[in-house]
Amino acid sequence: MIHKLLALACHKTTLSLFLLLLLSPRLQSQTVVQVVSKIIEKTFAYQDGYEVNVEGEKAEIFVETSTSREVKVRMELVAKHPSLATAEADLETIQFVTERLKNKIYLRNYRYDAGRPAQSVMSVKYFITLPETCPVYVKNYFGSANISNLSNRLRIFGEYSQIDIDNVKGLIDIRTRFGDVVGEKIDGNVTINARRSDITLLDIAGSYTINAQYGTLKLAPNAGLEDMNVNADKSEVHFYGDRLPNLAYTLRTTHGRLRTPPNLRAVVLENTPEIQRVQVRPNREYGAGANVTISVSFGDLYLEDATARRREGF
Amino acid sequence: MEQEKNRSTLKQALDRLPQYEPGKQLWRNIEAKIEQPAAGDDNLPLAHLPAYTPPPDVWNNISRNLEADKKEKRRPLLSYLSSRWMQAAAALVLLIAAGIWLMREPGPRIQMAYAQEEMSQFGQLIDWNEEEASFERIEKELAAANRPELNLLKEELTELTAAKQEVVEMMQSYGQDPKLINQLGDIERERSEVYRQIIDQM
Repeated sequence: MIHKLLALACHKTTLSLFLLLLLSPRLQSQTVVQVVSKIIEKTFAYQDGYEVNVEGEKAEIFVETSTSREVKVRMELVAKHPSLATAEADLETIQFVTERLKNKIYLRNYRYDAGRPAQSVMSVKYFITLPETCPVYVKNYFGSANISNLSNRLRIFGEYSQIDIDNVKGLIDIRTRFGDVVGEKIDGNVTINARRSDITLLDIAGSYTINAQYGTLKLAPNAGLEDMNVNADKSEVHFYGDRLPNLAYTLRTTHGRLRTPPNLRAVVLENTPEIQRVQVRPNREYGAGANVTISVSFGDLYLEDATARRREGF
Repeated sequence: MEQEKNRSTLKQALDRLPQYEPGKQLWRNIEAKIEQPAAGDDNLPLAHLPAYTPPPDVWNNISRNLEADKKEKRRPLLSYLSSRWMQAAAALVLLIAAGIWLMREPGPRIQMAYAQEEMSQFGQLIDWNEEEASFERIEKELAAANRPELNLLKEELTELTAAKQEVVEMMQSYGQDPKLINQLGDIERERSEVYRQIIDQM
């Protein structure tokens, strides 16, 4: 008897759950869509002096390296729509270029019929594998760029595009608008101009010039840091210098707070309601350190220690 | 051109003119003469023209030339390569052509793939412009006020409005992607923040 009651209860619960799921708004809003993909593959023989030039539109761009002296490209153009015919028609409006002209390998995508609104949801992906010494230029309008292991020259111009770079050395020039920059293990001569973009750089070495407006900057260098110049406007800057007692700091805020860790002997050069300026000399026993000059207007500047760094998960 | 004034009178006069025809036998006689030339034809001046036969060498030369022409026309293409220079040039052309063929980059390989998946909120209509009237009103007020301390915020608002427009255009171009919706949300939050700051300062 109890057995039967339990079975009935279980049956009722299952039925209720099923009805609940069926009627839930989340499930109701699910639509089955046809996914049409066009996959384009091309391999270029690589020679010294070549440059890969990518111009993406709403593209997710992945650049990786290999020991092969080839530039391998795989592009995926995807359209999704409940109607197969509509998805196919919309997909045909995405044009692509994969060609070499002299010493430049051009990879590009764009909407052919940009004036006509697309009915499908469309996306573009680039998977590029190239020798680590190959210079790369990426221009992306919406989407994202993931670049790793390069060692020569990297230039990125992103708008509304997230930029992730990992283990990249050499000459690096990044310009971005409305697209955050996340970098790890970077070493070289780096220039970043960012507007309305957050910048997070971890475990970085080399020389840096950063200009930023309307963003949050988190900078955590390693012992290989040579020089850092930051000019930030209407931005918040966090510099994690706890592992680097040999750095020489010149820090300044205009219309903003300036905070340094209490154990750091900061010399106050200016302290008015509008301007705060401090200097920190490097600890002599570590020798002459790299110069860190950070200037923030209409924003706060935090020189932070290990506690803050751990709190941020660095 | 001058026109005939008495056309009908002239026509009548012409119609009244007598008509003459050759005798029926005349044409028969002419035909008979054509078919059977008269015995006295040898007396015509043409028949007395002297006849010359060309010497045999003339025909021999003509024959030789004709033979030579035929041989020349049938000369095979490869016979031109008898000269070393021609051979070298041909080899070079072949090498260049082979090089171009080998060095050429083949076109990309293109494949199509088809699948199905479930998407949430596909094609959901979202009205991004519900509050646009408020933003437009405040921008007009800012332009009218033209106060230095507010102009910076006005510039900020203009920049964010342009950014919103760019995201909306991208949505129209590539579809209403969840990532684009998130980006639009971020920009709208920033715009609202600037809007609040403007209201506070006004």
